[in-house]
Amino acid sequence: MDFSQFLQKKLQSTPETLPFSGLPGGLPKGKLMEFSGALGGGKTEVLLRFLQETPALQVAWIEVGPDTSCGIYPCAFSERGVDLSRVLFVEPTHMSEALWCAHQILKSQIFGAVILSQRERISGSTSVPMVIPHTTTIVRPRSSRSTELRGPQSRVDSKEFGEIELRRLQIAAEKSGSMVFLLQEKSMSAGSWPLYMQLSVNQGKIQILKHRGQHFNQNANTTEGEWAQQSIG
Amino acid sequence: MGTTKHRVACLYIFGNQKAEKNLTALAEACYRFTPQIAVRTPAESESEYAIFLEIGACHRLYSEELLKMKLATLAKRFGWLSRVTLGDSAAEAFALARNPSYFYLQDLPLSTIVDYVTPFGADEDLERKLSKVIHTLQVLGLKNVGEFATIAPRTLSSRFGKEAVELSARIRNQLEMPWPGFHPSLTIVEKAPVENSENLEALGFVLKGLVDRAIARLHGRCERASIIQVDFDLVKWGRRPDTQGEGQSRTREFKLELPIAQGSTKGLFPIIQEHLSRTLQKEPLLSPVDSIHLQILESVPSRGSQRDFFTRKEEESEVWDALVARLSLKIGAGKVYTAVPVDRYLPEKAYTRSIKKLSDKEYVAPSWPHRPTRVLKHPQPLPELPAGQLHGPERVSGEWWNSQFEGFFRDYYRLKTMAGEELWIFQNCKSPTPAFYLQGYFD
Repeated sequence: MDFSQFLQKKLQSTPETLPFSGLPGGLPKGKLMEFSGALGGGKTEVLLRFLQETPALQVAWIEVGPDTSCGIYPCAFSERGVDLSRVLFVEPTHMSEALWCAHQILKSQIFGAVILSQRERISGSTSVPMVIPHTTTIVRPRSSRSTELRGPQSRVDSKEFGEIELRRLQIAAEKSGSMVFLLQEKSMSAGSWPLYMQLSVNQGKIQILKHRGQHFNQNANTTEGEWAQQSIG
Repeated sequence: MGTTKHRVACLYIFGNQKAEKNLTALAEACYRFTPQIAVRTPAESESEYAIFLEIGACHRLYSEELLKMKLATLAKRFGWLSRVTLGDSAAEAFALARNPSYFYLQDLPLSTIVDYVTPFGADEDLERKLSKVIHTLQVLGLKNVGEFATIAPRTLSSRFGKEAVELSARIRNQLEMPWPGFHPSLTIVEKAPVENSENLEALGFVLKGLVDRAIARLHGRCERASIIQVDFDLVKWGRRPDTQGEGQSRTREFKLELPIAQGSTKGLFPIIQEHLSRTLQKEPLLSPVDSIHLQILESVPSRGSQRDFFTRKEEESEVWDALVARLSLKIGAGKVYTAVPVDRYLPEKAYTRSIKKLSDKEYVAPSWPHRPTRVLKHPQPLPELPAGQLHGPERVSGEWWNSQFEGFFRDYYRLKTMAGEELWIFQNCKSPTPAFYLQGYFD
């Protein structure tokens, strides 16, 4: 077998999947996946439903962001049938710390699923008018030396996943055989090639934005871009 | 009542000139195999040491072959060349260890009788007396211990003296020697010289050996390290501004309090390495490192569980502890946790953070009503109620009876906005104006 054949076989190989009632083809092991959607859209609900359906999976939930923002609520796990004793919560402040934590967790090989979730902003995405507390932070941008005042609506840690970070995560996920989920508001478009699957969740409905595996087409009639019409919650 | 058959393993150390203290450390690590241990006190001229392990009651825990391999590996970790022999008494095991070319006690030459009599420590007077007896036996034509054992004991006293009677009884396993007590050191300190301290990797190479030995000793005591200290003895070089005088002895100390006690090298070593890396980046060393000390300042009892062949739970919990400790040290205490439900009515306080992994048996899932997946740490007041479908209310109130907490009285609603978002809002009924607050999202 020459290299091109090996590469072709590697690309065509079907990854092991875990069944998920929300997605007929299931979710693949050892891959990087993205769940995107607006705050209150139901993406976390979808993920919790998957975790509830796979009770053997040890979960590491990494919440990136400032402590004051809207974070994950562990009581919801228990209420949705996800045993809290199998979930480790990690709350780094910065994206660099979060990536370091994710790599260490993947290296340990005891977690079947690693969720990298960016803490949601409490006012930027929602349509609800709110009284914002008057806390301002002074941020000095790299481009200019002038001082800029930003309110709490802006992201404190504005760094998003770069292509290199995603690629590293993908390799780590493949090595450990763990599933890595990225939970974020906006779906990545540029440089998202290491992602195996991109799903968008809106009002509990899953839309497949991208998938790279052949197994999905074999197992489901759903094609890319169509609504899976799976109502969650 | 049945009696347990005596069986003794002798870990014989040779070809080494290391300090006796190191031997005590190795003996301490041997506690994992048996609680009855003795160490031979060598003569000043001797460079050979021995550790005895009574394993008569342990035959169900491990086989003799496995023990031999484990002891040899353990000795290697401590930097010793060793040989392991087994016998029905400490004397037999020691005599066979000193004479590796013989398999059976009966074949040992008469000159080895001295080893047989003094396994736990050299005794020059006794050896002198025995040399006369051995000479007499050789003159009579006896060649080995087996032949000596065939002589009737009642004739020995008159012909060779009382020493020969005692010797015969020991060879026949009719007289067991009392074992000297072994007392492990109170603190665990490991020390090693450093030849190359160019970078952390080179230091880590030495440090890993120290961690490995310290963990082996802790394992013997069935303990795990909770507070450790690493000391770098620096070479007396140059002048340091904050110390007086040139060439003063300098030590750099690194104290590390572990969030979760560690009981494996795999878990502890990366933690130390990362801590040193962080600290030395801020404040580098001023001169090369001469030697490294590793001290276990505080330890806690270990789980002491045997490996389960059918599940990987013990291994996984070790890895879990190591991982949580590393993450906690990196991103801060309290930021790595497992959530444990508590009996509080206030939704945002209905769980507490724990650093320990809960077992499936310990965890009891509480019965909560439907709760949002994301909550705000501090509920945000809403200037006006957004348009949408309201479901509720769910009345949550309480804690007025406890002076530690402020009582609350809330009506919770699930609100589906026109934009399709599902919010969890509440009305504060205690407030004079019926204000609404945003508590969370059904994300």
